[in-house]
Parts: sequence; C-alpha cells; structure tokens
Amino acid sequence: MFTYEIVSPESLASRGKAKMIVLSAAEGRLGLLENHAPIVSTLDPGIVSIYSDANTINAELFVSGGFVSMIDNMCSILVDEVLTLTELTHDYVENRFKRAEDAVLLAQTAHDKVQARKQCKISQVMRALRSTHQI
Amino acid sequence: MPSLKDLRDRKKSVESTRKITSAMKMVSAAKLRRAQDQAVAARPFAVAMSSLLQNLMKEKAQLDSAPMLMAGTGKDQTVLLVLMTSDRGLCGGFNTGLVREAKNHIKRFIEEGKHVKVLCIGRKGKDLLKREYAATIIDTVTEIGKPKLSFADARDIAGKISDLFFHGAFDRCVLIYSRFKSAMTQIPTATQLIPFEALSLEEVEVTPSSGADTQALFIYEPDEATLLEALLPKNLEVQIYRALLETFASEQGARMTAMDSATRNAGDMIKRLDLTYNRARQAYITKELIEIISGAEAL
Repeated sequence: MFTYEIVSPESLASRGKAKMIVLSAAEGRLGLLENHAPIVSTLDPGIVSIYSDANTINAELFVSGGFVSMIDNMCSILVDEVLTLTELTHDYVENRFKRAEDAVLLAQTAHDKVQARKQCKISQVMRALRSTHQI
Repeated sequence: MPSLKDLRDRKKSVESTRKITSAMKMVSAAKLRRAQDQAVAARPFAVAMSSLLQNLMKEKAQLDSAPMLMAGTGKDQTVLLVLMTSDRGLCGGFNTGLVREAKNHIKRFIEEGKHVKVLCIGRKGKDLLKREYAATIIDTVTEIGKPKLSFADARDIAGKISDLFFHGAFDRCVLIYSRFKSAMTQIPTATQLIPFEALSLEEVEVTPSSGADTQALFIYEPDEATLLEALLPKNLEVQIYRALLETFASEQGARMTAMDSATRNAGDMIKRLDLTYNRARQAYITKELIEIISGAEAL
C-alpha cells in the first residue's frame, strides 16, 4: 500500500492509501504500484481508479487533466478539477459541451481560445466515458 | 456654545456611525475567517506544485532551451507591474501601503531607464496611481472574487498576463500584493513572476524535502521540456491565486482593525458628548433658577 493525494487548486479532494492507481498519463493509461520508480507525468482528462487490492476498485474519479508525480511511495495527483462519476449526468455533460463550443466561437484572445479548446476536449472525453462506463 | 438640541443630534449621529462601523467589523471578521480557510485549502496544491517544479528545475541545466516563461525574452526593457489592491476603501492604510510600494518600484525602474506598464487588480490601485502615473496604467481589473474568490479568477488574470507576455508587451513581470501576517499586520510584498525564479522557501512555507528524493532519478513523461512548458503557466496561475487569497485576507484583516478602532473612537466621542450635554443641561437649569430667583427678589 502507498499514500496518494488528489489535490485541486482550491482544495484537497481526496487522500488515502491504495494498492494501485490507474490513470490517463501523457503516454497512455498508467498503473502505479508500490515502490514505483520516481516519476513525473502530465495527465490527460480521464478517470483515476484507486484500487484497494488487486481486483477491487475503491474509488473512481474523473479528473480534467493536470500532473501526477510519485516519489518515495507518495503519489500526488495535481488536477484542475475533480468530479465523481455520478456527477457526469447526461444533462451536465451536454450543457458543458454546448458551453465549451460557444466559448470556442466567442474566444477573442489566444489564451481564451486555448482554454475553450481544452474545455471542449474535456467534455468530449466525458461524453466518451459516459458510453464506455454506462454512467 | 451649541444648543442642547445640537448636542443631542450629534450624539445620535455618532451612535449610528458606531453601529455601522461595528457591523462592518463583524462582517470583515467573518470574511477573514473564510479567506483563511480558503488559503489553508489551497496550500497542498501549491506545496505539491512547488516541489514538482523544484525537481524539474534541477534538470534545467541539461535542457538546451528553457521555456520563455523561465528564460525570459532576452531583453529587460519593459516591466509590467501587477498591483493588487482592494476595490473599496475604509480599510486603514492597506491600499496606501501597497500603492507606496508600487510607486517605489515604478520610480526605481524609471530611474534605471526602463519602460513601466501597470496592471491594476482592484479599483483603489488605479485611483491612487492615476494622479502621478496615469499613462503607465494599461488595464484595470475590478470586482474580482465577487461573491467568492475562485481559481477561475486567478486563471483569467494569469491568461491576461501571459497573453501580454507572448505578444511581447513586456520582458519582466513583478507582482505587488499584500502578505497576510496577522489581522494587525499586512506586508506589501513584491515578487517576480516572469521570468520565473525558484520561489524562496520562506514565502511558500514549505520545508525543504528530504535529501533522499532530491537525489532520485526521475522518469519524465513526455519529457522535461514539455513538462516544464505545461507546468510554468499553471504555476503562474497558482501564484496569482495565492496572492489574491493573501491580499483578500489582508484587506479583511486591515478593515477589521480599522473598524475596530473606529468603533472605539466613536465610543469615546459619545462619552465626551454625553459629558458636554449634561454640563450644558445643568447650566441651562441653573440659569433658569437664577432668573426665577432674581425675578422674585426684584418684586
């Protein structure tokens, strides 16, 4: 078992012990076990699964992208936004997708455009997850 | 000598002022509590972020080209000063202290022959600067954090700053905000945002990590340069968020202290007015008595 924490800029979302953590890292799905070599990676929007033992998923959370680092059996997951899977309702995802699309069209500055595209991508991933996870 | 009615009216007006100031004090105290809770909640992210960056900075030596946000533009001609103040007054010397710090910096930069631009976060900064340095103010952001300060506010400001930076509007960015020490003490602080400098540990309140992991060999995905490229803008947002929280907490602290002493002063004033009023009333009664007695004697 090792310690993990999921933090967003505004709060500590979750902290605890895990047997394994699987997340969407820069180069694909990444599983972290105890005594993993020190690693720093970017995170794509996707699901973070926390395993309490080899076959049991203790918690599943949607994160909107960020960074993960694991040093000395301490796994820090830095994310912009954390949502539980139950929060990803049909209406929520579609609304968000609509807002993001509008924002892309309305964006004036380079920064706004980048942000809006990012939001678009996040809601697309949410959409895809809804079908694969049958939420 | 004011009449009895004048004194009574005056006392009434001071009493209602006292009511207002003591209410403001209580509102500020509640807001301060909330701001402190927010600051505490924001700490884990800031700590994790700065330890990530510190590890990456060690690899910097091996990087051929550091990202712009770290390396700068290669010039040092134009300075952007980001000045955080409050939107409203009645908070003692809070805004004046911040603006004084800003003016010192502007003066120094101009003496060094640099071009200065100012971005005001908060209305008071603009109001106090525009007499002397109206030409340097490029933009003012107001009504930040209404009703509640969120990370999105910081993201917007950071976006504004980095847009300016990548359009070549400035070479260096200095942030002036108020560091919250206690409700009594707020310290106007200047810190450089761009080019990025490793934070002083005292400021983030992080204890240096143990020696073991600093020696560790990291796996970087995708690679160091890309990671830094992604981390630095995020770090800018985090720093601005932290500064916004600290400035907000400081504002509430300063207002609480100012309103506390205003309430106390109003109390003193009421006591003095009471005394004067009673004395005047007594004199009035004595005068009437004398008039009656001397009238009776004259008969």
